Amino acid sequence: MLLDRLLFFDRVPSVLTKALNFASKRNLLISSNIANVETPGYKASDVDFRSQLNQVLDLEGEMKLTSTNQSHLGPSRQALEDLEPEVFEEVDAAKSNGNNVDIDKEMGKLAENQIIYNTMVQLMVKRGSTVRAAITELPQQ
Amino acid sequence: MKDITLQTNLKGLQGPSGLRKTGLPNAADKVEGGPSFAENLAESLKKVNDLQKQADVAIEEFAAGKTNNIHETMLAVSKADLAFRLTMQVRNKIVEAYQEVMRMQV
Repeated sequence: MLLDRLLFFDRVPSVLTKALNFASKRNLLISSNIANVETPGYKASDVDFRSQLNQVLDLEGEMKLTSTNQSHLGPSRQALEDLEPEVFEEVDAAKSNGNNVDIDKEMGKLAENQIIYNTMVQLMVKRGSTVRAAITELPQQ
Repeated sequence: MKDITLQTNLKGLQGPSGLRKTGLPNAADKVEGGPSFAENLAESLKKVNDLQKQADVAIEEFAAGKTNNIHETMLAVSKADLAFRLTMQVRNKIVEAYQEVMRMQV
């Protein structure tokens, strides 16, 4: 869409949106881990979205991906759009009833995830206000 | 970090003679005149753009989990935002001054 191309021509807004989605999904997973702390046979699950993003963004070194089309700029954004969270199960030692949820670790992860989520929201608001300042600042008549 | 304060920009505007009078080392290496106002303006705009790019890189690095310092990301984004808003207001003032000049009766 033309408006998307005007306002969001770089990939940072989509990076932030994806990261926010993943962070809220991780929040749900950690909450369900904590809720299931007594359930026998339950294995804690988590999603490591930051390293997934790291792989897709490819921040170090030169851009290794080649463009298939002349009009494409840099690495394809499809890889970023199609990124889905990969849920994996924790490999901690299980208690006697088959449950391996470590309540302290889960609470720590919850707090950290909360901080990351809030920071991303603040960054998005800040960027949005910069763009809004460009649009609405009028010279005095 | 390069020094982009108002003072150094003003001293650059005065040219080499201005710098010699205040006794500071001559920042401009050119023989005649020093950097012009237009060049200073272009360079300042380029610096604002660089700040924006640095802020973008800082955000991406934070999202990918490569930085452990949240405050550095926030500082980079705040710097870029402030520099951009300052540039906008400078532009507004220039436009206003131009309009006032055009309003003058001949």
